[in-house]
Amino acid sequence: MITTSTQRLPLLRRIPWLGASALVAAVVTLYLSLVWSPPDAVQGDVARILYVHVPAAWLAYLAFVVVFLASVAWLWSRKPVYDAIAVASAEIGVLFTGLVLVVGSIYAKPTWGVWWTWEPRLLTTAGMFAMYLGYLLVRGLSTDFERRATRAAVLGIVFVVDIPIVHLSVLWMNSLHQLPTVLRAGGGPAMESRMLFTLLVANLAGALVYGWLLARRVRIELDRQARLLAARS
Amino acid sequence: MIEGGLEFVVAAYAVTIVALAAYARSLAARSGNESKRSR
Repeated sequence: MITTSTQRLPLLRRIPWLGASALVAAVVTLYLSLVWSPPDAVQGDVARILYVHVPAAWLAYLAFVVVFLASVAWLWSRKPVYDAIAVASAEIGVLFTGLVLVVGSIYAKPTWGVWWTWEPRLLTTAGMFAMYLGYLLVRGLSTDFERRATRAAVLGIVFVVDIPIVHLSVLWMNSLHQLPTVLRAGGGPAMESRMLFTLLVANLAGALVYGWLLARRVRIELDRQARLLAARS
Repeated sequence: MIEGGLEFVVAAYAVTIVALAAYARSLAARSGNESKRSR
C-alpha cells in the first residue's frame, strides 16, 4: 500500500524562510556582480555574465544529482516522497539547463563572435537538456503511479552519467569553451579574489533559490499524489 | 579587452530573472489549482 505524507519533510515547513533568504541573497549577488566585482582584464564588463551562467550550470548538475539520489531512494524504499523529489528536481534542473544554454548564447556572442557553435561543451549541455526533458515527457506515458515512478527512476539513474561528460568535455576534446576555472585538477581556482568571492555568493544564492523552488514543487507533487491515491482507493 | 557589451550583460540578467520569476509564478498557480482540486 502506497501512502504519501507532506508532514515529514522539514524543508517543506521552511518555505517562507527559504524564499526570504533566497531573495536577500539574490539582491546581494546583484550588487556584488554588477557593482562590486571588477571587470575582467580580457572580457571587460561582459565577464559579469559568468555570475549567472556558472551558477545555473552548477545548479543544473546539483538538480540532476538530486534526481539520481531520489531515484535510487524510490527504487530502494518505494516511498512516493522520493518520486516527488525526483520529478521536482528534474523540472528545476531543466529550467537551469535552459538558462545555461540561453545565457551562454548571450555570453558567446561578444566573446566568441557567434551565438552558437558546434563544440563539445555546448553539444553535451544541449544533450543533457534533451535527456531530462525526455525524462519529464516519459512520466506522462503511464497513469499507473508505481510503473511511472519506476520507469522515471531508471532514467534518472542512467542520465546522471551525462554530468561528468558535460563537465569534462572541455578537457577530453578540443573545445572553444573555457576550461574549468574553479574546480580544476592540480591547482586552486584561477580567478581574482573578488571575482571568486562574488561567484561563490552567486552560487549560494542560486542554491537557496533552488531549495525554495524545490520545496514548493515537492509540496505540489505530494498534494497531487495524495489526491490521486485517495481517488484510487 | 572587450569594450562595452553591457547590453549583453543586461540581457543575460533579465532573461535569468524573468525565467525564475515566471517559474515561481507558475508554481503558485499550480499550487492553487491543486488545492482547489483536492477540496
